[in-house]
Amino acid sequence: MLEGMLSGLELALSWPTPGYLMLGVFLGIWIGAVPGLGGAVGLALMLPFTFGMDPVPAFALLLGMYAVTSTSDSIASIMLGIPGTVASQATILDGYPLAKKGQAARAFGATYTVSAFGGVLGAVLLAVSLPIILPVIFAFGVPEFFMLAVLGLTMVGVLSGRSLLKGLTVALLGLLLTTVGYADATGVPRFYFGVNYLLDGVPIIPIVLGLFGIPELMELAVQNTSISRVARSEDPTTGLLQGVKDAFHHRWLVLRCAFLGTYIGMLPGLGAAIVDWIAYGHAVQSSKDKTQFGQGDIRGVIAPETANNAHKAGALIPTVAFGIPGSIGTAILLSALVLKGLRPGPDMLTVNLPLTFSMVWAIVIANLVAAGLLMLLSRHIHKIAFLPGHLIVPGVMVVLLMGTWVATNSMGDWWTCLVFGVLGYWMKQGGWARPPLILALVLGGLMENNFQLTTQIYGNYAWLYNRPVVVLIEILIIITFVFAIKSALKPQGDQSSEAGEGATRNALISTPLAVGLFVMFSIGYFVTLGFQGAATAQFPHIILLTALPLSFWILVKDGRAAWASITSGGGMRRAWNVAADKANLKPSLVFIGFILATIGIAYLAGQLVALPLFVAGYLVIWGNYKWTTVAIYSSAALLIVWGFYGQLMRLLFHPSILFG
Amino acid sequence: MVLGQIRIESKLPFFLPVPAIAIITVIAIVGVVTPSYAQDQPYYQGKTLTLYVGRTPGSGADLAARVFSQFWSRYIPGEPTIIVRNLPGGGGTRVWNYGAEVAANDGLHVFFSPTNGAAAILKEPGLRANFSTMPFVGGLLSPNMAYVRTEKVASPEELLSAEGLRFGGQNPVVRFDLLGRLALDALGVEYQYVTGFSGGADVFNAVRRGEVDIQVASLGLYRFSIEPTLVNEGLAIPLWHNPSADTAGNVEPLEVVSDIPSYMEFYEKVHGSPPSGRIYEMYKWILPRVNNIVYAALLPPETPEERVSILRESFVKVTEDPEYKAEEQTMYGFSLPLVGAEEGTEILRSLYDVPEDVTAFLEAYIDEVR
Repeated sequence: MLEGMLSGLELALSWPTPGYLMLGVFLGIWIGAVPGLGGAVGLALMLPFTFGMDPVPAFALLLGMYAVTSTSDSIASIMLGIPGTVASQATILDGYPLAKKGQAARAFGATYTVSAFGGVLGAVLLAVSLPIILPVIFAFGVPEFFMLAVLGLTMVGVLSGRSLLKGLTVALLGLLLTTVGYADATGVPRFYFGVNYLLDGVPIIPIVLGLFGIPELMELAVQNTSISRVARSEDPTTGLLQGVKDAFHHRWLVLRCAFLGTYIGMLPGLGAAIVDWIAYGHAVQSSKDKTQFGQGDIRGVIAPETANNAHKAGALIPTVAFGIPGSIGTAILLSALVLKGLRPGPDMLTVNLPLTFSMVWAIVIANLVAAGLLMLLSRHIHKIAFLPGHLIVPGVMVVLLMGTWVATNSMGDWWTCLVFGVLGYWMKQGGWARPPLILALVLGGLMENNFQLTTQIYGNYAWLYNRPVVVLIEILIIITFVFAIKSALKPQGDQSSEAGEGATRNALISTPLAVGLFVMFSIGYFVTLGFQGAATAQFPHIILLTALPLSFWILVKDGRAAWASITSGGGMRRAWNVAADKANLKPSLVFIGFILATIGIAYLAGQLVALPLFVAGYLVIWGNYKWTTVAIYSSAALLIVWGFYGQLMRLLFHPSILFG
Repeated sequence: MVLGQIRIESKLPFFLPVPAIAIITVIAIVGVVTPSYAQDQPYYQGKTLTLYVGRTPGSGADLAARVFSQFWSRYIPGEPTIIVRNLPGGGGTRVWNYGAEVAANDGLHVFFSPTNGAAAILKEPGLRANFSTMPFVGGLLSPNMAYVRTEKVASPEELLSAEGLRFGGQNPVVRFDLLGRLALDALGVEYQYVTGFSGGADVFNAVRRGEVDIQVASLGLYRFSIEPTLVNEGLAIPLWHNPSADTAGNVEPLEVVSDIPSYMEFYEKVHGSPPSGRIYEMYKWILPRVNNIVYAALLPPETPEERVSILRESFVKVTEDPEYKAEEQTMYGFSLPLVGAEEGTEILRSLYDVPEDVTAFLEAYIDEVR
């Protein structure tokens, strides 16, 4: 083992490998920082360049890039409230509030420190676990994967904000969304309503970017404030150092999350999108004082950022040792292995152990270098938090829409983003927490698929009590559930606080959403009655039968609250005006109109015209900027859309009516 | 600039233009700008040919297309730049719809993806493209085979009397599942069909855990993973490979899998007589239509004939290129057999000329496990 580690290090440090590793790190920092791209996209871009290379430098390039995207993705998560990649979704919950408080530098300091720790610890855990990995992985069959997904879903309890009821309903909506498209077990399409775009299901990236990104941009546009709501007071170095101190102060949380990240990563199929939520949930559950979570608690940044870097190391094992990729990213890495004539399998842990260790070392070095570089860059990046909102919104909107486009290169991506943007705004203003939807969206497919397989292979019930790992997970689920109920029943401390997910109270805005969901669940239920085959209908059936009474309960509760606000507010019109003003409804609708116009222009004249026009229109109409600023900014937008997305990433633009 | 009590920066930070400058520099370096060219030069000279793949990056189809694209250009007069674009969606149908309905028929857009003949025969939702109207450039056959865990079946002969067998698959329309079920049913094997695994590697993992016993797997997965970890360890035995077939019903064992009998050979070995019966006839009918063209390169309808010819000839030359063959050896451990233009065209045409009794049988056969 030690010999393999040292030989691996020697390989990783032999020129030109370090050069390629650094190149990979630079590219990874860039790719992770742009919302919507992520490690898998980066790997797909880089793979052709490795065709003629030797295995060690090729993997140094690929892994250097892949390992650090989950470090730099925190830039968008913290600064903009938009997940840079799926691995940093949970980071936004406390990272963005920290930026709003003017503590972006502190969040960066903590993030980069724990990312480096997470990456290194993940690699170390990976190395020491190699001899025992095989039995651990094979102890997890389909029932265990199903129960793990259920355990993950219990995190809804800590992600629901003030209303567990609304959190559960939102989670059920997320689960229902995962049933759109071809059912895995039967190949029968569900809920696609004749729209081909929906046949493969609703892609997660447009949903995440819409749900979180658009409401934040809307808020910046409407209020024209900077991201930070407080003046810049301290030297960024002080903030960065405070973040580093925070990381050391919470060292046991870092260690636990590194464990979680690495071992979840080793289980194929449980991707990076899950691990950050589980780590976040763990941070909340294991904390005595939970009051600051969602409002800028540094532990809410530390936990997911440690776990998502550790996960990358763990995920390497099923890929190289068994040829079982757990995600698109690791599938591309597997392709690279195959292209180099390497056979994934036990040989990678015996004959080719030095090569496997060179990969582990590449991850370690990349994480350390990236953390150092980003720490230096953060001194400048944190300044974005103090720029005027009107200067940030158009640029980020372009990146957000193009990040969305990366999903499938289809206008369906933009529509999905917009629909979920509106839903995200509505949920935010109506006091519905958004994270449960994403958590359920990430876990739904895993749950249904493994449940169907479990019942086919192990029958209906026996697996619930005769498999030790299943029983262990069940105990964890019960403990989590009891804590969630206890926490939900506990009297709320600061009732006046409007910060944090799902904290806003605006019954007049919330009630129509409850009505909409109830109607949608009802229609969904009747649609499922026409599904062909029990395996096709079973999962959506269970979801809808649970969601219908819950959404009706909310409807009644919110309806009563709305009625109370109408009677106490001097009539419907006056109460509505108050509620709409509180939610900034009118300017928000105008902003949505801007996005709709952009989509319309894209259909007519293509994205190369529509996106720079959005930038120009926004700067002139919303920002009152001078024409020189408008010209420079929109030209830069055009260049980025054409050059980066069109030429370098080779994305296919929508064929326009005017120009083809 | 002061907003309320908040002091905010009024200038862009110095590093923000960096991405734009970086992009200009990189584009300038790689020379994306198309050079001008003279009239008498070959059509493809100075042009970019796009290869569309209907699967995500890293998938088998994506990898096959990317490796093929590395060699293709050298055999096309004018040596165009070839780029690969992924167009996944619609259960793999979107790429074909795009090719049939949107892409220009100028010979610069080639669609290289799994055709999924079963979806065309069964008129599965989403597929609007008619493959028979799209000129066939060339195709690659990806061999596959069946194996079983020795815990349940120690020798091929025991397969017929084995009890409690589980056949793991992805979904009833996938070719591995359809061919596997037809083959097992024609043999008269008692088994439970377990469906819903997310891919071949996922089924293989379930076999290792003992959750399922039989799998129809790609030859690549067999050579790289199944053979070294299960077969060589005495945990599994290979059963048969699905042979090559044509629409006239002629069947030929594949040379690249000569160490494993073809299904027909296997059947005769365990039954003592050649295969026969309604289910076997269905297996033989569907075999070429779903299994022969795994990766097909098609062009948009009405692409000029001379460009079709250029691409067809060059496609064949790539499959004969020693360097390409070596690359295939590295990747798969064997060379993917070529499906020529004539054969491919005939197979795709036959997808739209299906006897009613065949359609009825297949629909009922798939519905019974949904």
